[in-house]
Amino acid sequence: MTPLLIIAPLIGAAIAFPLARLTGRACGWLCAAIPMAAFVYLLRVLDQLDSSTAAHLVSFPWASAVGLELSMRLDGLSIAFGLLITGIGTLVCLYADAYFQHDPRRGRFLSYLFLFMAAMLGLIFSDNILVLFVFWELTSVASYLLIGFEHEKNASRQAALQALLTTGAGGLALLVGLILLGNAAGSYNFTDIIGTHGLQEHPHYLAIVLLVVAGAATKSAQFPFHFWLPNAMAAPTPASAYLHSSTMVKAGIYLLARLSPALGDTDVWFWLLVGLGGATMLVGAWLSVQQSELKPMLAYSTITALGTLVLCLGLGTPLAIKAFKVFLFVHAFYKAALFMIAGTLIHETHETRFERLGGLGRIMPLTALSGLLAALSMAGLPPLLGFVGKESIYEAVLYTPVAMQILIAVAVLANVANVYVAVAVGLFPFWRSRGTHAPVKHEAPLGMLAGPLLLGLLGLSAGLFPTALGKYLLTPAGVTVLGKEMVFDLKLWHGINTAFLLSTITLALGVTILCFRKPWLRITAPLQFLHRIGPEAIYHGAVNSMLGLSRLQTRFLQHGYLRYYLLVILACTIGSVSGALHLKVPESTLPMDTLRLHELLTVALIALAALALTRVRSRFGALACLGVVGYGMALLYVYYGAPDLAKTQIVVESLSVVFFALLAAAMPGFKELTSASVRRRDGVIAALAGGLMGVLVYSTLASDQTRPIAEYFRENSLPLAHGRNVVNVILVDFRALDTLGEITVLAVAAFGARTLLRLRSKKRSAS
Amino acid sequence: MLVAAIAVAYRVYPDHIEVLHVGKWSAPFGICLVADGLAAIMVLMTGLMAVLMAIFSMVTIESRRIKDGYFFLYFVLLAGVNGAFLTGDLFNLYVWFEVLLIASFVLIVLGGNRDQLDGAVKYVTMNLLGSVIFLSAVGLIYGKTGTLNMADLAQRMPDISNTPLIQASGGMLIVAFGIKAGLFPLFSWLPASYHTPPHAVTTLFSALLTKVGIYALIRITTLVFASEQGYFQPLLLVVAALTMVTGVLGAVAQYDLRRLLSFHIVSQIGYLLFGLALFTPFGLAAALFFMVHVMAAKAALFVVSAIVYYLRGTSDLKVLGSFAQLHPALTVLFAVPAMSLAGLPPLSGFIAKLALVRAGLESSAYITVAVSLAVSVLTLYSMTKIWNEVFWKPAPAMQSGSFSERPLSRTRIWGMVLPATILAAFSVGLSLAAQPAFSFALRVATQLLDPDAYITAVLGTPS
Repeated sequence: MTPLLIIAPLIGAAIAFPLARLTGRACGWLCAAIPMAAFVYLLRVLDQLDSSTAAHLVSFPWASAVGLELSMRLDGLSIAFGLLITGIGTLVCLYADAYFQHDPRRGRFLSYLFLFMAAMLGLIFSDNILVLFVFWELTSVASYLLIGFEHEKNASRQAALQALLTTGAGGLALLVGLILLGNAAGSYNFTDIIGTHGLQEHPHYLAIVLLVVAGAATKSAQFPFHFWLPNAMAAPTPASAYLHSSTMVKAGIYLLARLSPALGDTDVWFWLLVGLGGATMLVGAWLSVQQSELKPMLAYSTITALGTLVLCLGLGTPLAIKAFKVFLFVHAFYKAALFMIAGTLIHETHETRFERLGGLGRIMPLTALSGLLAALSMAGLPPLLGFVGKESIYEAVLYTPVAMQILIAVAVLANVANVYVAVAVGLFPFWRSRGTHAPVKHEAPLGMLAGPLLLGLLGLSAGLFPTALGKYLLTPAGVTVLGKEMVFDLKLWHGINTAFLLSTITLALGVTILCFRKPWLRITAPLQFLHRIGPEAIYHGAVNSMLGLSRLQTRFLQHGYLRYYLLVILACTIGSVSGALHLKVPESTLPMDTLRLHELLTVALIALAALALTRVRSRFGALACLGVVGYGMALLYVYYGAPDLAKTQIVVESLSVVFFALLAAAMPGFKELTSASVRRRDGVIAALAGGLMGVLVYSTLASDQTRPIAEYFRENSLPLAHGRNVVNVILVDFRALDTLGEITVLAVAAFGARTLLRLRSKKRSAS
Repeated sequence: MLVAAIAVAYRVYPDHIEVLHVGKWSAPFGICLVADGLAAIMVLMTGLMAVLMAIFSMVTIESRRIKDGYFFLYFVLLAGVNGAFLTGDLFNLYVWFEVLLIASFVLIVLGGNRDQLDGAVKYVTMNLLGSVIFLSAVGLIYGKTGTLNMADLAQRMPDISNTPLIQASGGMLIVAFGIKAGLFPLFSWLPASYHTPPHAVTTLFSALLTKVGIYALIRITTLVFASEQGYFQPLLLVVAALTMVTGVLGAVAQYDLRRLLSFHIVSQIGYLLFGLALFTPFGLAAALFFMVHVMAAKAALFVVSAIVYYLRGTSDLKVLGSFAQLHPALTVLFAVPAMSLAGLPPLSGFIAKLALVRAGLESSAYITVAVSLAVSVLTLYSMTKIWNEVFWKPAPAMQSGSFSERPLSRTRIWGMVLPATILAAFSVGLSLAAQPAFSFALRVATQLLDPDAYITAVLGTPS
């Protein structure tokens, strides 16, 4: 049953497209059955886990040779995330169905959505960290498809690319981190890794933490990698609702939570995560109060929320983990609901700015009600779950041993921004008297209502009866994160304490900023320059400079001049040879006195001819020099007892001289094309190459030689191969395959020549 | 040919080494053909490519070229490639290099135009210079050892290793094979010539030619120069990193589909060299797996680029567009090998990348690992560049109303789609069967790193 959790959405992805064609209206409802079934199944598994530390494990082989093993782990933490993914997934399916009601792209969208769901479920249920990475990357791919869904628009394509590259780059850091982690723990399975003690003392610990956190930070949009998330709203709204509330961005959070028993509880972990989370909260808060468009406001507030979650994980105290779990649910509920509501508003009014909306409460009472519930939860007002969440965050921060004041300030500021966004998106458009948008005639369709309303009611009931949520869901999950037994006792009302006081301040501040929006924007306008030098500017700068560099290096390396290519090859040869020789000429052991005068003279003649070749100014002169070199070589062969070779050399040489002479007559006149300095450089390289070859040949001759093969050939040529001429026997018998190959080369060369000649004659006949 | 290759592979699997002494002259005196695991993999892939590219050629090569002997050259080229993979003799390897060089040269110029001639001249000149260097090195080695048989050489090497002469001739061989394989900074012939011949030729070349160079590098560094691995390793690692980087940067800068893919070949070669240069069983196995993967994925991409070209008559990314809208099936056919090449899971490219990174980390080659990962982001970037420009972007001609596509006959379309589909399916299958495939690669790698079995198989007597 368990693997079906991942396979079923994949099937959904495959059938959504044809299903949309066939069934039309009912498609979304049929599709929604898949995540719904998964949701119910997960509830059952959760119920059956006998103790809160237990895990349900399933395993299949894949490629254990490289460390990939398809094993699944269903425990408190992964089931909690799984419930969010499947539950909200169900609602998003319904919502998307209505959203794309008259759109032929509905099937394709649902298909991508299911792909995404499968990837997310695979990610959280993988026990193997490398398989987790597989799904991690798949979520990137699926989100690329979703963000770039409207790919006719350049902005969509750019946003999709940005998300893919940012999370992809982080993903690769994560890959290295995970492999190092696996090597350090001696296993690539979470079950073993979490059980391994002393990872914190491992020499690679720092590298592992930095790399893993880098991966998680890009995925979960932590500062300074947050910039891709707001741009990702180029995706259709149902996708945004899903991405922001329970999937994509929660992947990094999940990973950090999963690894905190293994890697946490050190200063590095604490400061890294608390710093990262705190900075992200502030950046998200700041950016969200600068916005007036619905979706960007929500997007930036997601960044704030993600920062909060990371901060809680960094604190790592039982109180903080409790806050983490509660807030995870709180945020998923209200963010999904608000995104859907924002989508509905934009869909109905074609207006994206909240100041222009108003008076919709009477026409869309149910949307307004769900907006109210979600907004109150986000603002952290009782009796909603949001209140419990916010109070527990304040509590966690208040009991932090270090830097308490700073953290409190950060938390308050972040929540101020939340209040602002909540009121602007969830209340403003419905309860303000009137807006400037086109008139709306009817309530949103059922599919678009079901999600926000259900989520809002869930937030309300969970707020009223928090004990049940705490006992059944949060305790097992929290235990997995903490790595030890504990019980979460959630209460709605704690009495009037410091945390409550802070809540009141938060609320007041948030509403104040909203009321004095215009002056607030005017005051902060001078700070806008920050956007120009922010991380997004760095991203664009990096991409552009990479493109510039690539053009530059291509011009430099692939310039198109053959002579420089050849120069490089020769230089490499010289380099590799002289490197091996350590720039030393080997000691001579070759007796010089065996050299006879006529041999020396011939060598001198060859050298002279070669030198002259470089100085002559006519083709025929050059030809003559070449001829001298060739015939000189033939002479040398004669001296050393190789008459066959000499004969061949003479024939080849004569033929090539004749051919060249014939060709030279048809060629244009001899021209000096190179400058003196170029010739000097070429001369140096030629001399070096020649000299080095000479040294090599000389030292080969100088070293003691063994000739077992040659002896064999000489001895066996007549008795075994029945031939007196050893060279001939070698060519046609001992090494006949070589000769066959060379004959083929000649045949093909002749063939090629014929082709080129025909080309020429064809051209002539054409002209 | 594929059948013969499968037969060879069957004989060789899992650990056997098959030796054929040509003309019954026993090694090291005659020439022998040796099929070990590595050779079997290479021959098998060559056979697969040969069949698929023959189908592809039949529907895309003009009848004029076929009349001029296209298929004659095609099979000479394949003979050269297979000969190079199977030979156990250093000089014989040179001969096969010549065969495939001249055959590929004529294939480029066959019935060609000025551009092709220009590319072909660069190709042949640089490769000929490489051959000269190769031949010189063979001469030096023969002068020093008196033998050309690779197993025999491997046996004699330990006695004379570490001498400057041997290292120098090894260096020359690496340069010579480096040209063939397209290593930095010797790869210029590849992007200069690959975009000029017909698509079927480019595809065949991309799958086979550079791989012959890499094969030769693997062979000599694990067999002949096994005792010099320590000397060559740092050099090879640096070259690997530089090859990856320069190749992918070259690709990013291109706006022509085929040129972009050609530069990618270079970048991928860097990965293969990286795996080899680690000289660990895991690293080498990763390189082998990577090689098989990249042959299929790259060829699939080239075939898709051919379909794009034959539909629109251009490979210019700026002019193309709207393919996702008009040809959804083709879009999928591109997406699979492209994702695989970019190393995205769950396709074969990811498994290859994962294995390489693991191998690199285990050998503490941190810098090269970091470089390889950065390059993989850039690879992803360049793949999305194609994706954006060809598939997602609305074609510029669409807006101006001058949009048109060439009609293609049914045979032509299927003759291209079929090889592409098989290759893409191969990539998927390779990742699904990663366990048997990678464990075989691991066995082959172990076999390569312990050349005693090879030597014994060839020379007959245990050393």
